[in-house]
Amino acid sequence: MRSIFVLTLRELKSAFRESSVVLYSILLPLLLYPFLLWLMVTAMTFIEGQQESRVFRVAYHPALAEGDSASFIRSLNSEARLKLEPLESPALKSPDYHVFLSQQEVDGVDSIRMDYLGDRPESMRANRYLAELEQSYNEEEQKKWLESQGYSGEASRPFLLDGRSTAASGDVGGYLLGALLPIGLLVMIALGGAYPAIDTTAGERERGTWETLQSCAPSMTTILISKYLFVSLVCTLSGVLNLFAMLVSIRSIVAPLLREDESITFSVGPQTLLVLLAGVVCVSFFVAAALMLCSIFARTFREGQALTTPMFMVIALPVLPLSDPSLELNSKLALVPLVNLALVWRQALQGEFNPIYILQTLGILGVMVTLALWVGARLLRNETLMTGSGPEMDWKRFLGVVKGVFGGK
Amino acid sequence: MESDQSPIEVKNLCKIFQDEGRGKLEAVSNVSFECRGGEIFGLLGTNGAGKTTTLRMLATLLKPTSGNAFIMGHGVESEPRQVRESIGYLSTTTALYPRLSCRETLEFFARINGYAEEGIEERANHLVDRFGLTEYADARIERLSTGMKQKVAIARTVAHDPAVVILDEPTNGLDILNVLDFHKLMRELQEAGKTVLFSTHTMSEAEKLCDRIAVIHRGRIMACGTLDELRQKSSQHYLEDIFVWLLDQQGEDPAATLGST
Repeated sequence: MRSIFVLTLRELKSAFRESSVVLYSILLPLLLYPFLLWLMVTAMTFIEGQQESRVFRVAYHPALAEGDSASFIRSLNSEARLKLEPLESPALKSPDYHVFLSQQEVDGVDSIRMDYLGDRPESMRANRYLAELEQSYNEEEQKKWLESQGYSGEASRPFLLDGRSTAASGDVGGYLLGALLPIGLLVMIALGGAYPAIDTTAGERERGTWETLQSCAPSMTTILISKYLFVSLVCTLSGVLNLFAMLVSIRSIVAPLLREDESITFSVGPQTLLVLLAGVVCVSFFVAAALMLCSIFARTFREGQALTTPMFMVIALPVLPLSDPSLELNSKLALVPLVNLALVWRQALQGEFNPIYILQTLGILGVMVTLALWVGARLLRNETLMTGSGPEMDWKRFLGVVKGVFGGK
Repeated sequence: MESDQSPIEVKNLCKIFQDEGRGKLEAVSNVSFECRGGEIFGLLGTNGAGKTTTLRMLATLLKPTSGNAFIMGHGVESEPRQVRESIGYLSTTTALYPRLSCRETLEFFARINGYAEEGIEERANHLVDRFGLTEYADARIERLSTGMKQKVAIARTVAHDPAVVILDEPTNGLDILNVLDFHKLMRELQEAGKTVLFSTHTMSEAEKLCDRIAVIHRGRIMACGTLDELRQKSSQHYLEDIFVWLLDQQGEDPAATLGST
């Protein structure tokens, strides 16, 4: 135990003196996620603002200025966001006009044809904007006609469908957190643990400190446990910091997106917090084991980075099921590592707790961790892998090592 | 360890590597020798002779293909932990943790190798003084020169005050003054009753320091004894000439040996 403590402490001391570890394991989880969200919201607000002040150039056939369509064209002329110009036949491909209005007859009824370009976003937006104007113009005209006939203007709408969300503001907050938090948390835990995992395995071998450590009194198992504990602790730290940052900052990040009558509360109860933290610890141990298992084959830091990169694709796996908001955790999904945890987190944030699935999820992660550590311990005892000085790892070498490890050589 | 047992006993040690390009490679073949208590024993050989592989097996980093070795009575295969606790091992590739200071490094290696907790600070201070590291004691290793790093590496090897010190080409990278200081340290270790086994390809260093020398070539021990015994056997005075004579006895051409290593 004393050796494990001394070795882990040494790893932590060295790691937190390394600027990359501080950046990826502390600053990034703490600041980047809220920063990215803020950036996204700011960008969305900016784009929305840009779009609202955007002026669409509309060309119309001079014939539309006469007859039934004349008053519609006049109403368009009063729109500040439209710039109208009569033209016989404009070229829409040129950047001058977004839409072209002309006269046509459909089923014997005079109508206006609107030409736009389906491959130009601005032209498509102009089309949508004019369609909205056409709808309100027609509604207004209908209302005037009804009033001229002695009916109330509202007679054309016998009833109104007034949609209102009855979800509590806390539930809406839970739903939003459930959609955002699990993936961000998983990625940040992996990102926080990647540098320490590579540094403590491939980095040690590249620097030559691996052999120094091997010749010291502690057994290989003690060394493995210490290194694993170190990477898991850094992963957990990244996860807890990210969780804290997310919970603290989400209210102010989402606030600009809300309408005046909308309110969202982001409150996480003790039970949810417990599930979140237990998940952070378990997934940290899982991610640490997986990252170390990948980087153990590497002889240089660069090689370690190449070998651990695919892990990030695995970590991002829950993105797919989480994109379906109606997907719920069931006995089958509870067997899929990471996906199960992401769903447990999402449901916990939405106030749903299923102890059996939670235990099943934690159990599966525990089994995966045990398996990874068992393989890792066997790999560390492989002489060719740990003390060899041959070429870089390729498939031939990799298969040779695996054969040596599991073939009992 | 029994009183009549040598601190280091090597018996018919063999190591065969499966080399990707060259197939089976016998790096060490039936190597046997013993180092007596308080002795400085030199393993002398050219590059690729099998010195490092032999020392790595003694440090339990490699498992022998056959044969056995005992350090302070503990078998390298059967009791690796006890062996590692008894030795201080410095290899040619040995490096230090760049982000620890000199003092932290010495304290860490003393602690991890089981030195009594209450004496660690005092031991680290002693080593800092002994190796002339006072000025750099709290500087990080990454900021030290190569020579200073090598000094710290040697200091950390003896940080836990081991009974047996195994050094693989320890003077590599040291300037002449540091080499002389290293020789002085060897004598101090000897006076303190430590057994020192070190490898070198520098004949003059072996001549100057070693009580006994084993000459190793192509993984085999060609001769083992005191310098006088080797001189008597070969009728040559200098170790360089003795080495060439031994090669000649094996029917080897020294020029061809250069190409083979």
